[in-house]
Amino acid sequence: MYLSTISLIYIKPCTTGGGRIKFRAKLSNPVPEVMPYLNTVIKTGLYIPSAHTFTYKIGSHIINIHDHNLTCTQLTNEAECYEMIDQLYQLINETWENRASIVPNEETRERPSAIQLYKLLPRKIGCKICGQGSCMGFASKLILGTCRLNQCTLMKEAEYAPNYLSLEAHLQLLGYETD
Amino acid sequence: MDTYLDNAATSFPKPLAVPEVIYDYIVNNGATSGRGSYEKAILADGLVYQTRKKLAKLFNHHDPKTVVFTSSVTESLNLALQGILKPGDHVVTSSLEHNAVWRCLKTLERDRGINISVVPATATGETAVKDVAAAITPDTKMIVFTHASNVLGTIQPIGEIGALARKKDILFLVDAAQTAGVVPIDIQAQNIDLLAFTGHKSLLGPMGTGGLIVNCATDIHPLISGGTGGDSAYEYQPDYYPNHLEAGTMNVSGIIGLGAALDFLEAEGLDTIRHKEDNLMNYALEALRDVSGIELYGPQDSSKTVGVIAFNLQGHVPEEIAFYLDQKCQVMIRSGLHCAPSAHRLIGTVNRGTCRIGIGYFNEKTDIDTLINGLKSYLKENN
Repeated sequence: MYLSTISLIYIKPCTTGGGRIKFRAKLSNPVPEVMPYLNTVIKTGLYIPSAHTFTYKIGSHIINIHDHNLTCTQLTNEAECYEMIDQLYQLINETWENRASIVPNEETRERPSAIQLYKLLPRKIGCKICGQGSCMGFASKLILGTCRLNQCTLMKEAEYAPNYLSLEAHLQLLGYETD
Repeated sequence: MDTYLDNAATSFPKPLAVPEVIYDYIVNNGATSGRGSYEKAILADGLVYQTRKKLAKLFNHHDPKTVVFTSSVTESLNLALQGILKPGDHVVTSSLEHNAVWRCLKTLERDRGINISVVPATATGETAVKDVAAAITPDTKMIVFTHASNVLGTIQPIGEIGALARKKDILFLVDAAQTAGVVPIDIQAQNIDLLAFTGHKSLLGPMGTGGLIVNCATDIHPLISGGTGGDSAYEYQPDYYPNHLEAGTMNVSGIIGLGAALDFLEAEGLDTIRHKEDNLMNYALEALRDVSGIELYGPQDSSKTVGVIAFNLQGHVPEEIAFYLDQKCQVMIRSGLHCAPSAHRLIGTVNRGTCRIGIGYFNEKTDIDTLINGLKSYLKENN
């Protein structure tokens, strides 16, 4: 067995609505050796070998594994967090146990582009409140992880909620914090 | 030395691991379950979830999130009956129900206008599935059945009733108070929509633990509303499980204790437990038949019952017998109606009651010998 435990260490507090819960968990040991195999098993995952990061989606949940740490988004309650941990524990250990029959894949699948993110930004009036010279500049910084989504104040307006969720999902898939 | 033969009321003793984990939790953790912002609270929450998982596994239920904790099987039954039944709904139930079901149904009949049909049973507490089918009407919303009578021990044909209920698209609620932990229960195979259980009988956990397993999409109106630890700005009870039906600080110590009891049950194996209790039942039945003036009730066949034997001694009052056994022989048994007057009506003891022994996994043949010796001494002194 590769991992002995995955321990939950943080759940977003009760100010968070159901369906918006996020948790952090600690792995008993890092799993870089398993990641190329996970990258084969999970065909939609995003593996970045240089960063030892593997990110993928299960339904609306985005799971990010990096070093000893694991995060997961869009959960309903604590019970679902534990259920997810069980699922991930099983996935990692089973993938490692079956590695002899899995061809490891070191490739990084295509990442979301700055243009994709730019298209989801609101209005695009170049207000510069985010501190960037243009909305395209902001989108580029989002991709690099040097800007946070909440720096765009227009994003919080109700009419852009669907765009916010899409952007958030893209960024989480890249392994970035979004709030 | 005390002889405990009241396991149908609550099991005693408990596996040592049960008080040990409770002590460890209270002394070394003590945090509440629910959304914790610190590691100990999250750990407590994790232990509660592990118990949900163990229960789901024991009863072959697919989703631990719909294992809802309550304080007792009575609360679980009230939750299901009060939370689902509406005016005009018809309910089919057995002739053997404990007041946990019966009083709840009668109250709903009086206050909410539900209708009840009681399926007949034989004097030994056996129910024919054709009689259940005959009681169903177009308005039947639910069939609620005890899995085994707490007076006669008789096991009911839950699998067949479940198949009937599923075929007729009627909800099936099972009261597993006397069976969970000793008789196999398979929610999927037996088509059980709602399983109410207690933690402190054959599951060998502490009192104050129980639950309802929800294996259907039917909306259940919560019995109570309150804090769930999450989604706090929302002004109503959340609609997702288990929080939909759980409010307030949980009995974390009890639930953790129940978790340890479930580990014990898994290690021992239900077959081993059932086999031992069956042997003790047969031994007890044989020995009781030799007691002068004994009146035995129920099937008197361990394969048809859980470890419960109801009896009387001709011409003697059950309370007097139980009192004598307790005071003179340190043997603990139960006398009276056992909160199940319907079952006593079947055997004609509703005015008199019976003595009842409840055999548990930790009993030995010597306990039965002590009981028999006590009964013989009682007869010697009182005849």
